[in-house]
Amino acid sequence: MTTEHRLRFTVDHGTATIAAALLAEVDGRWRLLAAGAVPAAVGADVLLVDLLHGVRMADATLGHTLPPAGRAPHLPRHESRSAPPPTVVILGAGDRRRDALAAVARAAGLRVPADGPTGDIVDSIGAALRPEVSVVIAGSGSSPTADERGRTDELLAAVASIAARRPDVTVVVSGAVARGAAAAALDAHLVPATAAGESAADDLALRETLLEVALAPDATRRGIVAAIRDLALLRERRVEVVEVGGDGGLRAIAWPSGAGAVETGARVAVVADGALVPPVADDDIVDAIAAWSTTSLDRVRLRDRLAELRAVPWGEADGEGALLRLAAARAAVGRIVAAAPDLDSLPSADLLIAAGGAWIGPPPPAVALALMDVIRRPGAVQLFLDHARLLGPLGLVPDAAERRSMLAGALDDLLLPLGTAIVPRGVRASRGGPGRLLLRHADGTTASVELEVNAVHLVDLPPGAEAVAELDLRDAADLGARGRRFAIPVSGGLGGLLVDLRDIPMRLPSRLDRRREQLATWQRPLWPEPER
Amino acid sequence: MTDRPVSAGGLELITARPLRVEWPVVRFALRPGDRPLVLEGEAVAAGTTIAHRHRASRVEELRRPSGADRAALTPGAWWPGTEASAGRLGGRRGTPAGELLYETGGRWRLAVGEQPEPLDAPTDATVVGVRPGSFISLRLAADGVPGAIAVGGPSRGRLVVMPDDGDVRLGVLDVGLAGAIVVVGARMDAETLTRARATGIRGVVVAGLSEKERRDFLASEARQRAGIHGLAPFAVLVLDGAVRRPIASPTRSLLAAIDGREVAIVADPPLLVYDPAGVEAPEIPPDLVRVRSGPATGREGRWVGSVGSRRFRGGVHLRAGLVRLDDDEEVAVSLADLERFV
Repeated sequence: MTTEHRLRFTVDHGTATIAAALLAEVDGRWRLLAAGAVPAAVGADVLLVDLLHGVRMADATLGHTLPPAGRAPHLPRHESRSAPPPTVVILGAGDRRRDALAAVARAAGLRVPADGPTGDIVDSIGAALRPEVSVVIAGSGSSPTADERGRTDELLAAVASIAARRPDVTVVVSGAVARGAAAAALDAHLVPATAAGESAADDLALRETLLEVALAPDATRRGIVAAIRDLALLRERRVEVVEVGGDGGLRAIAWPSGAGAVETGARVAVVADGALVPPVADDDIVDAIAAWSTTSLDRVRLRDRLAELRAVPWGEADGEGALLRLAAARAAVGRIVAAAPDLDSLPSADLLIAAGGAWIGPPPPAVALALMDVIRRPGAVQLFLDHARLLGPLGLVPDAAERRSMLAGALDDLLLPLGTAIVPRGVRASRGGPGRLLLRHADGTTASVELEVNAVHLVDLPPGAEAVAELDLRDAADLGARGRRFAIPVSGGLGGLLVDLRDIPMRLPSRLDRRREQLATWQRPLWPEPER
Repeated sequence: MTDRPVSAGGLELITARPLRVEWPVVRFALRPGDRPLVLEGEAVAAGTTIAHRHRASRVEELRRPSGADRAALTPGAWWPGTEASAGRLGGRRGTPAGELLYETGGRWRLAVGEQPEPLDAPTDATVVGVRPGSFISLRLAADGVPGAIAVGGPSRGRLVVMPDDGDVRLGVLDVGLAGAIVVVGARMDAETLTRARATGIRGVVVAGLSEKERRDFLASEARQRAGIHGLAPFAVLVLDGAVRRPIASPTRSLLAAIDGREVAIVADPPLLVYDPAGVEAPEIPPDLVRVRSGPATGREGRWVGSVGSRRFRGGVHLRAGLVRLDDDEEVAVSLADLERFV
């Protein structure tokens, strides 16, 4: 009989769906027995019973060792939760400062309403009193400019008024305005040393402060970041995650650091507008999704489909619905990347993980291509999918030893390997083609591919397989380092090996019909006949 | 028909949608300068004015008064205003009534509302929250039919259920329906909504409203509100979403049961509220399911059983159930595309 203490459920309570998984410790290693997801309204316990019942039915031998399905709600579980991002009202001592604060807040998991107040302090008070607002940020420069000095007293008086009327609101004051006695009298997070818009370091420091405000202690995104930090340590690699959910998105990169690489560094951006379909989908958002769509929908119909996708993100996960979901996910990643361009200045990651409900459903190779469409950096990267949405709950396991023990199995079993992508930059067309790829498998067999520019080559390399990809180019290209010949260790996955010779950044035809045709051409080998 | 084995159970994995909610708490937004007229815990009757909301507001400055008046000045408090008085040195200027915002440099900023509009309680209710400048919330002594979104409101009227479940055309809504909240069919366009308002109809309940029509209607509302004259209350309750589908049969049965009664539409949360006294709620068969999304959107049927994981369009594998549709055809539908009523 498997003792119950060797079983764990993970439960990720999303705003749209709940995902759960059943893990078991077998021979000292945590294994994934079952996983599933249901709309949030169904409730976690029903799903847990269903998972345990499913395992018992599928494997009688294993089933004998498991507790009855009705015990599922009483088994140990690790949980994480997502919540709609806190809505923020920003009071800057000037327009430039307010815009700078808004830019930082957008990458720190806060929703900055597009119809929010502009410069008027009274409008700002009205906006801050709206029930949906839970954070107020006020700020000035580190040494206020002339126009800021004139408004500082009024700004603090307005913030004090909001704090008195809305004690439930979290107040953050940054810059010189946070230094005086009036600011000290506020029940607020005071960050006088950082002023938005003055330096990249200031913006990052303020983002860290705001992330602490925006993310609850049991937030799924907090767990995902903790998990990739551990994975970076365990694998001694740079690990990147791109998560798209119903209420926002996350991009984070973690790497081993410190003497002996026993610590980790990380850069994190949480973007409310990185949701699969944001609550207010303006024309820019709709057009961006249309630009990634391979199906022909006019703007009116597309808006309606997006409204439905927003209301029921788990619905129509097949056919045209799946194509629309992936187009929306690509556009969401585009918004996440744009909100925190500083992550692009970091060295490329070795492992890239797709997480969040938006990626669940479409065939894994199509997810791999979608990732490479929007995260375009030169280099070679292993791709994974957090298909059971484990990273959030596992990252929040409080005991570090237990957490790392569970995550140690992640890349082998708990995460779905999508394959490896090789993305050189600056490959030029030339007579006879730009070069060729030779894939040397571990068993000594080889496969050769003549490369073409502006193409995605798919080479079969199943999950678990290891190989060396030898890239022989006619002209030098950038693959992290410039050169003509590269030998890259690669590992397999459901998408195999992707050699992506498209431009960085990607160039696509401006006419929508030609664009759709081009996107469909790239997608076809990975997702044949998606509408049938 | 499916050739896969069918097993019992699985119905509990389908989203349960409440047909009605009892004693809902609803919220009405206030802005600085609006004046609440009720206190927390107070009981109010349907139609009682609970606040004066304003179509516009301005900011005035108020010199910090001395003496007893000063103690009452806190952000959010209501300043009753003072009358101008004559005196030997030219007298004293009066101050308007309004909501105190904040004090700086010895002066208070005051939000003063202009062009008041009454906000009436939609049903008998108890006031459960009053936050000046922010909201009033009421616990209604009523039941509510939940919708997906509501536009405008609150609005009250007698319910009229149209028999047709298709798209409503312009000519159907005439002045004979003035004062009514009308349940129309699957979908409605902005022009018909504007026409409905113009004929004195107080509200519309519809299964679907396209995003374009919703935006066009809101723009039309904003233009009219910018005019001098106030508008009669009007609200649209959208039961399902943006694409065309008929009203679900349990909802239609419930609406038919309250046809002719006084009802109201509120927006936060979106509900059609009614007095449940004497209303027989329809029996919902426990195996009734409705297709919420996908190619068969809006169709209803009976749950036959679970068929496990199944390949759908595009090679996507999803948990599915077998459903006997209203025309007796049996189809496998992804569990995620189904809903049931409770």
